Amino acid sequence: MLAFLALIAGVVLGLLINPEVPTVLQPYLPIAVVAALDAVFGGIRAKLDRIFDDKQFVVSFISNVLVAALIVYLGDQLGVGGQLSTGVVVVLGVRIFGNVAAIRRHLFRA
Amino acid sequence: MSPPAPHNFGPDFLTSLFRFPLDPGYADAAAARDERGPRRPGVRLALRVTAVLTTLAIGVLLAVAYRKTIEDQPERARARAALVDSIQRLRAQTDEQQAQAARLREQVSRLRDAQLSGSAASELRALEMTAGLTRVQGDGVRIELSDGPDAVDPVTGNRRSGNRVRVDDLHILVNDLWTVGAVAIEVNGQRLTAMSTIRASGEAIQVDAKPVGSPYVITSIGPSDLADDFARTTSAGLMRTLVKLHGMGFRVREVDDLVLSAAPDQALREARRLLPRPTASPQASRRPNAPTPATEASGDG
Repeated sequence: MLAFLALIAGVVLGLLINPEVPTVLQPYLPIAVVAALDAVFGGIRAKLDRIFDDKQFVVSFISNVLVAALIVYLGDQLGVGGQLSTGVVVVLGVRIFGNVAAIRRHLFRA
Repeated sequence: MSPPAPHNFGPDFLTSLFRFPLDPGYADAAAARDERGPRRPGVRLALRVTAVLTTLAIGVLLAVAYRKTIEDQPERARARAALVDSIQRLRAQTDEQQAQAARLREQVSRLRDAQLSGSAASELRALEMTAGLTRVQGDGVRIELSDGPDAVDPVTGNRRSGNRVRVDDLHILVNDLWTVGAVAIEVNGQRLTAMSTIRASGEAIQVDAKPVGSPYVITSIGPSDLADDFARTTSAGLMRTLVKLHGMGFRVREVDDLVLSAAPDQALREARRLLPRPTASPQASRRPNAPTPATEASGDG
């Protein structure tokens, strides 16, 4: 519940202060969003599975974002940035889908 | 939930990704908690605060990404609007320059008329009229020619365009008009000159590369007996036959006070140097009205 409120507060805060994203970081924004969504849905599912762990949540979010950004950065340097971003989105997307399916089973027993 | 036993990242990575989408770390952490009991309260609180802050950060991230996407949208719209703007501006500029060219041309012909003696000027005007460079006003003939109905094949249902006006029909009509003394001819509002073309391009007919369609209106100005003379030509006879055979529309009327516009600007095809080759500087050739006889330009362009 607290986490949910924090998420809402974060969205409101982000809309209010509207921080300027440095141009260097802008290409990584979409990837970071997908990584963050993966962490959020993983956390919710773990909560429902009663195995949620704060440390694991924090570590998974940060490592997700960093690894995804690193892969895209490397790809950009090697000229395959678009393809590697697609790969990252596919892997994280599959995880998001699986976790959302598990959440659905938890909530609706179906 | 059954924990995925060993996390091997071999060929089975995708399979395990699909079957166990949850980060295996959660299961490991839960197992560790079961084994060693919960963490100390201080550590737990610190971790909880960190997690909440992380969630806050995720919220900010989502909001920022949303804002960024929304901001990018008008940027695209702005780029488009700027392009549309510049197209319109350039078009207006072209129109203005064309109008200016027309004004200047008029000015040139006025100045030329002032310079030339009366007989020379009238000769020049007659030549210009024949060349299609000036507007012509006078009595003449208007011929209206239109396609006959498309025949529909009773078996296949295909439409056959055999009853349509063909480019040859326009050719002979126009040529016969010239023959019987027309001084100016327009086809669907396009003035013909000696250099004009009437061509078929597929099924379409083009006059000076601009498409024209049925009904074709051929307007011509000429001597007073133009209509009678034209009625006796072979093309007029042929058209009357075609009307009977194919149901084409063909009508010839005498019309008074026709106004035919000047032909659009013709590209300069041939030029001749009026001055001897400049010896000192290029500026020398700009001297106007130098009283020198015309000399052929000798190949230096």
